[in-house]
Amino acid sequence: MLAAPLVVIGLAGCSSLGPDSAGAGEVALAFHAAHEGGDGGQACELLTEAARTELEQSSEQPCDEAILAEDLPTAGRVVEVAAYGGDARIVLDGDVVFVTVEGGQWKVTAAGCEFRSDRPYDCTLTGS
Amino acid sequence: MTSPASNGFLRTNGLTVFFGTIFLLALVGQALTGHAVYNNGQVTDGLAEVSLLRYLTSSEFAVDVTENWQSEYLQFLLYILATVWLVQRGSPESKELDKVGIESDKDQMIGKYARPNSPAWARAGGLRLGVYARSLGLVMGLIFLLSWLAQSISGHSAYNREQLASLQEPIAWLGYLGSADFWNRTLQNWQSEFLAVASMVVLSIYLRQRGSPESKPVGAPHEATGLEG
Repeated sequence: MLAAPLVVIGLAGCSSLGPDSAGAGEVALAFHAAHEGGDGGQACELLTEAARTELEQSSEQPCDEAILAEDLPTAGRVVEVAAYGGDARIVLDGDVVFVTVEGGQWKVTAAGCEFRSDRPYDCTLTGS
Repeated sequence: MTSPASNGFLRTNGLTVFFGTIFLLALVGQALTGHAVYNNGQVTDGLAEVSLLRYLTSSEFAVDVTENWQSEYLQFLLYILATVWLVQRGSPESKELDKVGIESDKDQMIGKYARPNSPAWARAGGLRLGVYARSLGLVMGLIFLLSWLAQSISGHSAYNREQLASLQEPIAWLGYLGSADFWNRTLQNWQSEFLAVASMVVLSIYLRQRGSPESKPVGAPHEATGLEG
């Protein structure tokens, strides 16, 4: 009987660490590298389906062209990863990126995000 | 004289087997329906559905389970401790009005008043007796605290997942302990447990359930306290 809550604590503790939080940081970096390198196709590959759709509908352009027109800040190394369940926020040196697990892989839901106190981040690129 | 059949395992452990079985059935039902609800939400949010195993190891399932566990163990812990010192005239849930407190060694069958078949630690003195004399409350209290801790950890994870999904800042575990989400989950369970106990204490003064030890005998007067049927 005592073991039951201990098992739950273990599971909850593990799930709070998230699925491969290092991988989330790598995807955020790869997304920025593709964007800054002008590889719109690769950048779009790293977006969630919803983010791609949102981008194409709002710009009325194919994703690989529209993504390069997005005014995202340049970003460097990973400063901090906060991952819970299938969602994560990656603070990069220069940007904040949100990712989620889609199809078993981390995908970018939002980028170019700026912190706002007591409100959601204000993001240049969004789509959950 | 007791017949061999009346000593069968199921018959002599019926309460444990019955409640253990319906606990497992209810937990399985909660897992299956919770999985369905979770995936409905995923579809609504345009996200991929998750497997049952993934849901069972999610913080969302863990917090839904543990927030109920902690409140149940707290209910029984408080009941165990409060009924040492508090009585209720006419309730079979209460002991007799003149027995308030921890009672005498004779009443409790400890020390020199222990019987040959008393538990070994009840016959012992000192620390062992002190611990054993409080063991029910200690263990129920420990399970309550562990369940509440599990609720706080899984609730923190589930809360932060929602925060991140809506592009908001995650919070620290200590911050979550002071959050409305943690206390709302906690208090909504506590209030229902406390209401159920208070109802049982009062209703059992006037109402009867023939054959149940949780009730007074059907013919017992309303003012009779501490009688079990």
